[in-house]
Amino acid sequence: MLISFVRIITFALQNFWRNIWLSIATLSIIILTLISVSGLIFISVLTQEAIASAQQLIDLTITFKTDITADEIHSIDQTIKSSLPIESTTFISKEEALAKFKEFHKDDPSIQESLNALEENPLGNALVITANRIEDYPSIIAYFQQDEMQNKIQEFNKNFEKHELILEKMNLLTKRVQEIALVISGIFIVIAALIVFNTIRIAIYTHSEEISIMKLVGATNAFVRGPFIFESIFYSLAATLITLAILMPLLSLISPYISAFFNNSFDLATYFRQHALWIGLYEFLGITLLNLIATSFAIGKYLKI
Amino acid sequence: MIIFKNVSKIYHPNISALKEATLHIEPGEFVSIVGQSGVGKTTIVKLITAEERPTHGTITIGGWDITHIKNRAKPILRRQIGVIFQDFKLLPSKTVDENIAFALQVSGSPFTKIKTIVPQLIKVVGLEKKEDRFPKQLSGGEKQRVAIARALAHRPKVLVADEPTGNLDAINTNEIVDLLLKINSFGTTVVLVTHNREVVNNLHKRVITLEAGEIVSDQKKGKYML
Ligand SMILES: Nc1ncnc2c1ncn2[C@@H]1O[C@H](COP(=O)(O)OP(=O)(O)OP(=O)(O)O)[C@@H](O)[C@H]1O
Ligand SMILES: [Mg+2]
Repeated sequence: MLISFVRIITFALQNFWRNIWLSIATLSIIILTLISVSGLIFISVLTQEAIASAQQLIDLTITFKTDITADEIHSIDQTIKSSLPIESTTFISKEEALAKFKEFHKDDPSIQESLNALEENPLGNALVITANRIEDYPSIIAYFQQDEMQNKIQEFNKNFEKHELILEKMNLLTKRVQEIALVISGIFIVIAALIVFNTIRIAIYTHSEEISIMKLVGATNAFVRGPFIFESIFYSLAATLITLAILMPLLSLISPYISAFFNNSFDLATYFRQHALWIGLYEFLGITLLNLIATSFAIGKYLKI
Repeated sequence: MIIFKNVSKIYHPNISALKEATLHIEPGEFVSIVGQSGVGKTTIVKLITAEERPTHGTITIGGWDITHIKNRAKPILRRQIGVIFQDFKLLPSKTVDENIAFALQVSGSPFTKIKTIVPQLIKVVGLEKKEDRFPKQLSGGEKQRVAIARALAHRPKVLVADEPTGNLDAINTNEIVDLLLKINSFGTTVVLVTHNREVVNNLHKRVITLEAGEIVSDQKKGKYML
């Protein structure tokens, strides 16, 4: 048993070296496939990142009437955090708001003057709310539009109203983009699988004569199949490692351009370094499965003798 | 050892390579099968090794009815038969050494056994110093000798030689025939397929003559009659 195993591995390695050009051709097809699939993964990550960063631009600022105290707002904050789909809230006190307002209009003497003329701070305390997802805003707004709340509120921020339309459109767009990406990925993966499948079939076809000879000399199916199975696992492993080795420097090279696009909030090279192990593992498992299926399929025909 | 009972092989509705052939080959016998090209000699070889199944009739090898042999059992049958194929059937990406060793490796022979047997066989067929060549680096006669060495490697009970001297000159042919006789004298059943008149006439052994898929004569001490 062990002796056969050692022989199978020896045969597999011999096969690889003695048909080196065929091996290289097969290997490069698998590598190209893996690089393309990795590209697909990156595009989907970038799409999600783009959507997420666009979503972060949106928030809801609720300015309360001047007589609503900070304590009251804190209790509202507690309630909505536990009952609404809210990611985070930021409290802005009326003093902070005034300071900001003064700072913002410091070059406008007329505003400065009128502010100074006021004895009391005309601004209210405010709460900036970020929802979990874009589609969660309407329910949050609805909550504040109840009469009981409406009475306490000075204004909803303009930011939100202005962006509401854009928001809806973007929501739709991201859904479309994700759907299209999914369909394209699906088609692409099917094409890639077919290419790999046929490459393996052709590689085995070139050995069809040998396979029948081995059978005629008394080899069992397992003994004939063994080296090919081992070789296909070896192909998968080598292809995965080479793919990772190619992507590593390639991503470092293009990553700065992508980061610039995201205002430096996202670095693809770092993302890849953090996830390389998983990407590599999944690609290895996927391609191994595909190779094994293709190998078993292709070889079966010639084993019948 | 080898029993064919009314065996027919029809490859195609209008190609019947063997018609109702019946023959008994006893253990330890040396039998020559002769006949013109295309009369069905190689077909008999393929039926013995279960490369082809008979369309009609039954085939028994060493008491084992292989007419409906299962695919799984074929390796066991083949490891007991040594075949020198008409077209050599050497593995192109294995060296001379490895080709011969392969017949032993399939049955899980230990490394040490292979290390001693293979050089002996190389010597027997006169291929010293060519062990590391690939089949495409060998002449026709050399390839034939590798095929012979491989067929003998696992000490088969039955040796089937399909034109083993087809590519050899007279001297080498005699050497090979002597080798076959020697193997036969140790008790191995030998089936020799040939169209070499001289070889057959010098053997003074049993000769089966085929004509268009039919056995037309079967003589105990036969001559090449065509
Ligand atoms: N796989 C096949 N399919 C169809 N016909 C075949 C097949 N193999 C052999 N034949 C036919 O069967 C007949 C017998 O072939 P076979 O190979 O047994 O001849 P042979 O006696 O060995 O000839 P030779 O002396 O030339 O080797 C031939 O007519 C051949 O064309
Ligand atoms: Mg023939």
